Amino acid sequence: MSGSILWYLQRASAVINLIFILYLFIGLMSLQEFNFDDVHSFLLAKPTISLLIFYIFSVVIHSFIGLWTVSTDYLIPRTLGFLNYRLALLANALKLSFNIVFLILGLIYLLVTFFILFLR
Amino acid sequence: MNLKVSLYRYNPEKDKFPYMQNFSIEKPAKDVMVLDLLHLLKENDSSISFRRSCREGVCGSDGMNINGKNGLACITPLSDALKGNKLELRPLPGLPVIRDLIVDMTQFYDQYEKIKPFLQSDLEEPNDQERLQSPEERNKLDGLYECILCACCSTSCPSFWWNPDKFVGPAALLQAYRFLADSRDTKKQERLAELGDPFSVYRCHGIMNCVNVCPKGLNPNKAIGEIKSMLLDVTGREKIKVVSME
Repeated sequence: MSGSILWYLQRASAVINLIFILYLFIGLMSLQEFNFDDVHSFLLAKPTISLLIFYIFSVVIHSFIGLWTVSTDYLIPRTLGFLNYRLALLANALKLSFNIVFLILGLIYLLVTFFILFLR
Repeated sequence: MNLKVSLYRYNPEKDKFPYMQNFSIEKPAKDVMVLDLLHLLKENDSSISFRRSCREGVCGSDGMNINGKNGLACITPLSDALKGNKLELRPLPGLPVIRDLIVDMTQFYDQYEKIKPFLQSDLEEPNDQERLQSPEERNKLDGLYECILCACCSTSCPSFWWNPDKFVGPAALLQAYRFLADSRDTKKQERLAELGDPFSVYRCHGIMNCVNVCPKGLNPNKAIGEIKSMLLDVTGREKIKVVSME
């Protein structure tokens, strides 16, 4: 994938994340009474659900690009070799495991969130 | 008053591991450069090894880590470098050490070679004159062509430490932009296409260590920003097909 596409995805997902957090903060703060019913209706309102769907995907995209970048910087033979040369031999396996674990966690996160939203 | 100098020593033929050797030397009466101090040390111990040539900040051979900051020993006054009464000299970080303060620059030059640091033009060469530029076009090259390839910037960059084979590094990227900004060069698209993968340019996170250490006062970070703008097609004019990817 081209670096420009990753760059745009990272920035666009950051903006979506920020918009949702601000929407959530402002929406909750502007509730007249901060009781269960009001919060419940606000969270289940169509605009909240619509933004939440974008947010769910953008969190996965943003964190995956970020953590992939971290793994390609720090989980490589050269970097781990600074700590211990034996660790350097395991670097590629560690990087692969890190990416697989994160991929699985991302999929679980998506499935659980969609289950809560649409199949409850 | 005596100076305490701590010097990185490593001779692969004799030493299993590198070590820091401490020297105590009388502080010169007048302010001298760090390179002069190294020469004074070498008078007493001829095994101390370091590169130097022009001793006026032009050749870029005596780049080293001086009290934690990369710089050229020949143009760094002792008064600027000293912390208290101590001076710690190490080789440029991130590159393999050949001996003492001498590093193997192969990775650095490989990246420099990758960006094709020469003018490329499809236009026919004029017979009786050089390729001309307007003063405005020429001005765009100021702050770019002055790089002396001392590697102080690239070796202060963590992205270059971690991925010296993939991230081009600030010095080579400054030179890449020097040719991208040159009105006489006609291979702009090809040059950008070579840089479009996730590592070559985009691994720069703009921490500006390169700007902080450049002994010539250049700004590789700004040049990298310009390359990113070209790659990101912010004006909608660039049509780039990425050719080099991980």
